[in-house]
Amino acid sequence: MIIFILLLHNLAAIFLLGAITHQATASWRSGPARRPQGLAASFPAVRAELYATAIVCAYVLTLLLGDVLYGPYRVDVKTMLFETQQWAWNGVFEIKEHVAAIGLFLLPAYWLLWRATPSAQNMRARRCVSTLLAAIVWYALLAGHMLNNLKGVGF
Amino acid sequence: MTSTQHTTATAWAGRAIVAGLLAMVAYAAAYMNNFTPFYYFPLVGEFHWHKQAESLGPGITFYAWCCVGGIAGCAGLLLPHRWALRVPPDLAWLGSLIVTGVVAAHEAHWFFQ
Repeated sequence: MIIFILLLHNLAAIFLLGAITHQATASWRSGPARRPQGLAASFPAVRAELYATAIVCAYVLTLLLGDVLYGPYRVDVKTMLFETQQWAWNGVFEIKEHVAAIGLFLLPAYWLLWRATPSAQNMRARRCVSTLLAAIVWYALLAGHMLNNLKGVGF
Repeated sequence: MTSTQHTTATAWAGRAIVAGLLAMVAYAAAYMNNFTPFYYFPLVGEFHWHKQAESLGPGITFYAWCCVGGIAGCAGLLLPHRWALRVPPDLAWLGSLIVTGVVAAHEAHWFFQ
């Protein structure tokens, strides 16, 4: 069961990573979405405002699944990290835990900023909030992946 | 969107920004000062108000810190309408970035042991 939840957590995180990266890059694009000219140009050529609700749902789902996995992680993996004195890896997880919580608290503002009428001031806020959230998600996914390589939960 | 709807949406965005920042600061303050209102012990699947004997296994404090943040954040939703309209949208990412930096600096000791 734990391995199944871990897989769901991974899939939700990958979906979230794709969506937030698309949105963040699209938000820095100048002008409206046009027909893309190539692969690199087509990546940010999406309507960023359509992503906000899906991103909030994916973030909350990923975090909830991560919370379920935290119990087995605390018992198996974190104990192993302490016993083998792998302090840096524990630090990697501690930061992941805290930035994931910061991202969670940022979500309502993020969602409302994307739903508000665009203005010069909130366009900049949208860009920066999406980019910050993307950085949090990238860090959390990479940290989780590396820690799972070190010792998988449920194995 | 009418003018009234726009004003209401702006006010709620302002409240959400303040609520989010309050939640982040309360969360960070709780974990930095080891303020943990309750513990979860995954080995036995029990919640307790205080630390327990080692026989219950390691405790999780993260859920309690998230609750502290959530409760503090609710206070931000009470921000009066006229104040909420004055909250600059850039405060959302700027405040979050500062809290992230403080948290990362606080956890840096793990990399120097």
